[in-house]
Amino acid sequence: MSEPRLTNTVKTLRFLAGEMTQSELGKRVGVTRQTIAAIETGKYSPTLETAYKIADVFGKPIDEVFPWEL
Amino acid sequence: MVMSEREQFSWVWLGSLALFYGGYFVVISILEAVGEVGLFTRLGLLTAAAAASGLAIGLNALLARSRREPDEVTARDERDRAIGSHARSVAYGVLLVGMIVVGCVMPFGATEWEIVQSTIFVIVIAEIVSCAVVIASYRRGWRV
Repeated sequence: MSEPRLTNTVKTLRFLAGEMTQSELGKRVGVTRQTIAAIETGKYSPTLETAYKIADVFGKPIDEVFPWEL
Repeated sequence: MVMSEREQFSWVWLGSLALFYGGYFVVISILEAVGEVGLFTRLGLLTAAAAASGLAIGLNALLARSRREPDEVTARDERDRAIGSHARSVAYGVLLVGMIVVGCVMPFGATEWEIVQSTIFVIVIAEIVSCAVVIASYRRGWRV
């Protein structure tokens, strides 16, 4: 059985939000664009605070932006 | 993926440690094999290695600044801090073991200069480990 894992829809949501750039999202949540890129590719799991900030930017509940895949 | 400034810094610092400080140890070893090496020769070589490393870091900082997008977030963020903290904790272990050897074992059999050289060597190794952990964490990903 595979381990449950945290995924994210940040890239899709950025695209739907008028093709927002990684740099712009990073600026709005206070992280670098490289960190946004790492989050999108699953190379970094953000802190709860940053996860909430990202969800807030897109106006979505946190579990929609960071689904927990079982 | 675009390399973060911290990762870029770590690559440059790692290269400087290997090249300049590695060169320092090679030159010292060769000179010691030939004959006595004076304090000022040692200090001069170490200063040259430190200056060359500082120059490489400075040039890298200028290059990174010129590549920045306007209004780009460049301050250390949570990922940089988490990776940096992890790297420091690993490097601290290396430094601790090295210093125990240098400070508690070597005084019973080594010469003064061997102890001095080993101290510098342990510091360089700890820095190399720190850089390697930082680079690996940026490349392979970092999760708590």
